[in-house]
Amino acid sequence: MANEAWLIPAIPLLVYVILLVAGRRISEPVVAGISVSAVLLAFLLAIAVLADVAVNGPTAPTTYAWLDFGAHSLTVGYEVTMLNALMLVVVTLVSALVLLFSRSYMKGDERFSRFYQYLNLFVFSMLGLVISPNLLQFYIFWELVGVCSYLLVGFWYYKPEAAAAAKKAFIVTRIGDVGLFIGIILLYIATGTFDFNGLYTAGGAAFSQVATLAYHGASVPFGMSSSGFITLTALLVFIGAVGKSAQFPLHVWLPDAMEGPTPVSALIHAATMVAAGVYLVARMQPLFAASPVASETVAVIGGITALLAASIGLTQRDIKRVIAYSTVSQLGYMMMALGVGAYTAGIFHLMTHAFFKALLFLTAGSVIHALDTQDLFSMGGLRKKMPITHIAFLAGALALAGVPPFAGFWSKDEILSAAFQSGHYVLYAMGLLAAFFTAFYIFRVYFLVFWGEAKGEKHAHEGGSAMVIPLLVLGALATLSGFLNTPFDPFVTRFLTYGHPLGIGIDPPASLPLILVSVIIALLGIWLAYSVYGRANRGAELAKRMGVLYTLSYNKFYIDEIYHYLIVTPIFTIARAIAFIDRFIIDGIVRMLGELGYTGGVTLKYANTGQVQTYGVLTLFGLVALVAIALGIGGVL
Amino acid sequence: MLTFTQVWNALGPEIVLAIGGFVAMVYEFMVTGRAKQATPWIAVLSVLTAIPLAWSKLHAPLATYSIAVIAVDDFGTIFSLFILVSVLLVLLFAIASQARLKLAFEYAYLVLFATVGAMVICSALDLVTLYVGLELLSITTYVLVALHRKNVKSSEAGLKYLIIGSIASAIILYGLSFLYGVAGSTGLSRIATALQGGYGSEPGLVYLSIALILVGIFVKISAAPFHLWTADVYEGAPTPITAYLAVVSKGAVLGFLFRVIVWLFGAKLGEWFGLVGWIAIITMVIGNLGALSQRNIKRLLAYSSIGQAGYLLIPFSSLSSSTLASVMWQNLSSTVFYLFAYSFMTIGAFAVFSVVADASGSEDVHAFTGLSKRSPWLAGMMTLFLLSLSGLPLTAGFFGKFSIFLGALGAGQIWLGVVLFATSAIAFYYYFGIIRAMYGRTQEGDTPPVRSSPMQHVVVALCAIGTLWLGIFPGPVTDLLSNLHWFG
Repeated sequence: MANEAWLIPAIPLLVYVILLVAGRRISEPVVAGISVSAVLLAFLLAIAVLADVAVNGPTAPTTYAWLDFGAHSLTVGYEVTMLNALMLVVVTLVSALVLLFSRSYMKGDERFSRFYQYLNLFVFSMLGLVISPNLLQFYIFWELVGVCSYLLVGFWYYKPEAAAAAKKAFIVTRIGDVGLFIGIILLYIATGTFDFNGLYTAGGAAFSQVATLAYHGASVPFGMSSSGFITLTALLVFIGAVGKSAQFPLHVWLPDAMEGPTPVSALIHAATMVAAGVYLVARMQPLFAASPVASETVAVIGGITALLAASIGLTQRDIKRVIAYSTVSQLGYMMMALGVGAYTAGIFHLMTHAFFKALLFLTAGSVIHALDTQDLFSMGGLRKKMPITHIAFLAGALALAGVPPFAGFWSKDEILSAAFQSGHYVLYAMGLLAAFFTAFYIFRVYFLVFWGEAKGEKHAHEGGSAMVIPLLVLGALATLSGFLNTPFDPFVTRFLTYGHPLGIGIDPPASLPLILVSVIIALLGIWLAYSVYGRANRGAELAKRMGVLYTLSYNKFYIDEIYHYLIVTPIFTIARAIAFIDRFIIDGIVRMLGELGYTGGVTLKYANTGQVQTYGVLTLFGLVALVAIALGIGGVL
Repeated sequence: MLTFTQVWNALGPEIVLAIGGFVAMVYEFMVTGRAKQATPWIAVLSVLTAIPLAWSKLHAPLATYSIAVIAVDDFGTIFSLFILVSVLLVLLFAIASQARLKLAFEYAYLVLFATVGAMVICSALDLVTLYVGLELLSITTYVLVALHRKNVKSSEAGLKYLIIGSIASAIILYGLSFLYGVAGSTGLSRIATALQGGYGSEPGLVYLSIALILVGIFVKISAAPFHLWTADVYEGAPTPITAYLAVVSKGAVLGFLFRVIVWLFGAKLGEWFGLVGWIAIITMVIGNLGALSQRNIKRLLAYSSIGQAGYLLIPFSSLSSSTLASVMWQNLSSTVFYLFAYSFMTIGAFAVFSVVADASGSEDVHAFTGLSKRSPWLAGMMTLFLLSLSGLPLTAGFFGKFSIFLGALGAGQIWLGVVLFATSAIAFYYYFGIIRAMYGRTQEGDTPPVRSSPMQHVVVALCAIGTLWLGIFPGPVTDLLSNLHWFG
């Protein structure tokens, strides 16, 4: 079955083409029906592939020659490994549910079929990314998911915030992409291959051998030491992951991306695309394992992100922004896991997080759909009016907060205990504090939205069955999927490490004291949220007591503002300076000459000759400089 | 004495173009009224005849067709093919815009004459021939820029281009004259012999000469800090002529650069790559930053083409890092590949721009507002060209930049590669301004319907096919390039 894995991305691509050609002529139910059933079919295929590799192990890549660049040749193809078989299942499952949910959520939107078209393109790109056997193909799909994200965040392009957010998301992630691309090329120069497999073979046992890293008989490029080179490339690859997975300091785009429709936030900005960075680091695990410096960096950035984003989430007023910061924070946990070497814990958390975070977003979507507001303080008392949404959100919140036996408990606890047992005590403490914040902020949302008095005139009610079914399925997954990898039966770990020669990713055994600490921390957070928001909203009181800390958190530590002053402003200043020279100095001379021309009659009829003189003079300055340099090169001067 | 056959073998395509040009000139002079509209088609016909002629000379060994002053090698042939394909697109573009722009029909044969010059400078082996070719190209384009005689901007641009272009030509000529003085000959091979693979007996004069030639070339390809004329001239020129300047002129002068410098100083290039590398960096940075604050799309594309000149200088700079022939061929391939990609995406972008600017009577970015509603097809195509210019995968621009980038890293010039990508990231920003305008919210009353002729769609479609083809199936072209015997 794994040899037919190419069918999985091909199905949504086919639907995309159908919608592209005929989308406008098909009615809404048919558009949604085709999309959902197609992706469900892909999901079933993914299950079959998963079963196949679970029994028979990973397959060799299937590749086709694409083109030759002189000595370089590029291939395209697909490959099923243990890791990406799991990813295929997660991505197709969440996609199918989100596509179903959108049926109601986007009902009546004038660009309904366009929305499904983009979503199908996204699902195709994401699946293509997952099964890429080489870095170059991976990079192409990596850009494609970025384009889809751009299209979907800016779907309501007539909202200026949406258009700005789409642009910001695209440009900030591009910064990471530049790093990733340079990393890919450097690896290619050193190893002569883009293939994931080839990289590891060329790199020898975990990239440790200088000799095997070298390509075409040359040594490591740029005269670097082998270990320095591995660290450099690993860090460059990681920069790409930082951009895509919204890690500090490039996390600023993800909260803004919430301007997109909520199903998009659930699919792209919680479950799948943002996890691509984590997937990349996991896929390149041997490279990171060979560089302690790079691994430590991944862990530290992950830890900082987890704590920073969680602390910002404490105070936001927009329900989607709270969940968005929560996503950033959880992605931080995954990075931290990979950084401390707990490979399966990171992937396991990626999986459970995909379920419970998609659930939280969809319930938030359900609430927003019912109330037409995203402001937490305008919500309340929905417990009675929307019982299914209430239960589903509660399941998601408990999973996120890490209360046993919900999914997030198992995966997050694995990460924290791995951090502790690998000796990263500071990271462990940061993770624990972040867990406390997490429990607090998500239950703050819970109590504000579902408890207390109902606000507003609008009569809230549950959406149609298309909205309820995904909530139920994801609710069940958020509750139960943790049991796939418990300390008693680590099924996912066994699966992911199938026949792994290097024995990577075997997590340390769980320890009861650590588990107890995590649970207590989570319960403390929930209790605090209850005491502040449970009966009456005493948030303002708490805010006053926290003083400057509250202000910092509410204003997201002013990171956007800092970027604006440190980066955006200087670039525009330079650009304006060039425009200034172009327009002002040169035009100024012209205008001055023009003024002279008016007074002096027609002598300066061709006022712009002044301008050309300036150009000419500058050309001659350049000439003199270049001649001087040339003679300098020749040693004459 | 040369026989006509020898001359024909060496200069067949050029002769076809020149004859076509004269026929078009006489025809345009003889007929009146609507019959004049056939003039550009004569030009198109002669380009279509020249393309297979040039193609048939690919892979011919140097000695087969060459004469003393003209080399027929794959380097010259592939540049000729690039020039011919681009000129074909420009001519179709000009025909398509004819009705609205009211271009004088003189452009048809002027473009052909300029093209003869452009092709000659890529294959000439003699300083005099080179200079005559360069001047044929330059003087004709001065006239072309000022083709809208009654339009102030066009005449102004023509005059500016004339002055700056003449300064550049003078500088180049001055540089060439030193070479003659040192070597006592105008033939490139003789000069190379006299310089004994180095700088000969008068190194100071040779350095000076290289510097002068480089400066003149930098002016003509609008490399910073010699780029100041570009935005004004591109803005003032009729749009098809702007496309001609940006693509054909720039490409041909780049060919000139390779031909003279590689031929004469191939062994000593290593000493110069730092200098050219710095010029490339400054050009990329200034071009892309300069584009950031432009509101006029023509000026924006002009600054963007300055940035592209910077990208095109990278392979030249990388050339010099190694005397290995394979490195040189690789970098030449990158240059030619990028030139083809650049031709399709630039002419395509200018063609869409021209339709849109005509519709709204404005060259401002606002002219693009809501284009996706008015003409989804043109908006989609413009998006394709802009994405390609910014180097997104699956477009020609991506592969072009990618192979340049590989070349730069292969030469150990990691900083050139980094600047290439960093400035491309900046480029995203301003290209997205246009894309956003096209797909963004429309305001009342400022969205005049777009009227376009079938011919305009043909040009846009051809450019789009080229852009996508080179982006998705670059194989045939890269294969062709890697099998060339560049200089012999």
